[in-house]
Amino acid sequence: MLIAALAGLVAVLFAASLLVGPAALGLGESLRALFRGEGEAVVLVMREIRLPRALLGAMVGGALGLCGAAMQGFLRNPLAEPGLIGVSGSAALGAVIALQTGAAAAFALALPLSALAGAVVAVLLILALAGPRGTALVLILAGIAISALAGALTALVLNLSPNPFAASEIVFWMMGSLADRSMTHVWLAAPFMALGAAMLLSLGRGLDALTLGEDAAEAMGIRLARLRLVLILGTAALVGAATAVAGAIGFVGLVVPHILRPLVGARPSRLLPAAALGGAAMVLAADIAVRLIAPDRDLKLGVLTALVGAPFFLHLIWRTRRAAA
Amino acid sequence: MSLLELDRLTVKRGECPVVDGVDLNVEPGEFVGLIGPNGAGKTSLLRGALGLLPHQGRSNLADMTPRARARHAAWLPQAREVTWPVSVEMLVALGRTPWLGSVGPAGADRAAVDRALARMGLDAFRHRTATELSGGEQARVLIARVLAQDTPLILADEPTAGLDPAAQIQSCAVFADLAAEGRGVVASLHDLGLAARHCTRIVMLSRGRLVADGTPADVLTSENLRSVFGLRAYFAQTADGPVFQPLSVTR
Repeated sequence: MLIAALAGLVAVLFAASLLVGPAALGLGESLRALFRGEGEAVVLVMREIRLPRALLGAMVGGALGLCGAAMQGFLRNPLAEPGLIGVSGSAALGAVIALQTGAAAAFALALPLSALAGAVVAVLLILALAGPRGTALVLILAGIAISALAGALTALVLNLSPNPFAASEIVFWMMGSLADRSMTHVWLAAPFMALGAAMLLSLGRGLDALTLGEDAAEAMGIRLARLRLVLILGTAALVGAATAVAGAIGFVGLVVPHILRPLVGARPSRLLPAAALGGAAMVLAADIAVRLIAPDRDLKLGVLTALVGAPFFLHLIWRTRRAAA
Repeated sequence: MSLLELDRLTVKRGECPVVDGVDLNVEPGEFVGLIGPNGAGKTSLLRGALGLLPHQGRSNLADMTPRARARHAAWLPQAREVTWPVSVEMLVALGRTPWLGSVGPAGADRAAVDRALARMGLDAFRHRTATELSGGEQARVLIARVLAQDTPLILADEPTAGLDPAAQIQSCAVFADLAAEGRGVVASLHDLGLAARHCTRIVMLSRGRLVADGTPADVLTSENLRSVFGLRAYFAQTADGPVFQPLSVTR
């Protein structure tokens, strides 16, 4: 029921995303171009600009929402989010290095590939740091350390940037955006995201059992070491791919599982698909909003989600404190 | 065949053995009270036996695959964790985790959950939110979760800690009934009076070693109490059953 409603919302927002843009196209005109290929310029706008943008919005949002739900379930903490294990920071570092060295300008896929490589390095580091029997706490600490290191190295790259244009390009990229993406980006991210989503969606039963704590879950037959490995690899594939094609988009993975949790009876396994759809809806909506609020200023998607997300985060802390009092 | 077979089970923390060469067999029908002062190794013994801690020696539970073990022995940890505000019914249903097929809960699973809720007197709580219950109610819900797991053997770590006297007696009575039905129960207990009244057998640990094993009357001797607990106590068989009351500290 909830899933159907969320799927409907995503479909509506996806359609809206296809129909909103600087090129003023009629509804019928757009749809004919998209599906039948009528009208040369309109086909170009619809198939090469708006379709990849809408697809990436849904994919990136779904990835972030799903990772957030899985991470909160595993760490048993409503304040956990996908960026916590350091994958998004490392992916951003990879992208920044590609921009800085000029590789991104020379070869279009250098940026997303370099970002994915950053995500992979982060995963290897986490696995090495957290060890085979590491608990959730060790994982958080490893993630914080890796995020800090990636942040420092990103700052170093900016610091050593040869000219202000390169620096501003890097800064803009890090704000996160879906503008000017192509179907190539979609095809690059899709296999990683499909793999990561399949991995995380398989964890429902283990995450449910973790409601009772690690000891009880393990005694109920859940292989925690395996669950943790699948979680880390799945999150890395999803967040790495999302960051590679869209830059850093914060707060989606934190906020979406939170809003939806009461609607699924707080059950982690049911939250996974709901949060994926909810994340897709939120990023699609935010991406439509940046186009409507300031059509000619190129407002960045990550800026908007942070502007909406940060006050929500404060509200969350406020509510947690009141509940504890 | 014994439900639990431990052969020279040793659990080390660093170099120091916190469980030191314990041999223990538990048969169907036994409610074993595991007693010993703080730090005697009660929790480590239970967790080591389940294979949740690295150990030496042999435990029949640790030799099983995780799923087979979860169908043979249920574990009630001392920490009463309930992370998410789920319903009581859903929390108890988590006990069915090792029995679930690929499609999710079947009729047998729902029946086991219903039985567990009824046994712990939780029918009225079925749709309440587990995190909003009182500590004692939560403890009963978590015991119901263990019952829903429907295993021949139940290991419980201080199941009565923090409960009011009535709830302590109820919990022990449930474990004693389960043993009488042919299951095996091992529960670590700090309340020696409860152990004396409800357990069919008491195992006493001191500094990781098993120092006494037998009926309550065999184990709760004044010599054992003095050397292991540093206690002097009153222990008598009365018309109301065995009564045990610690009186004073001897050291």
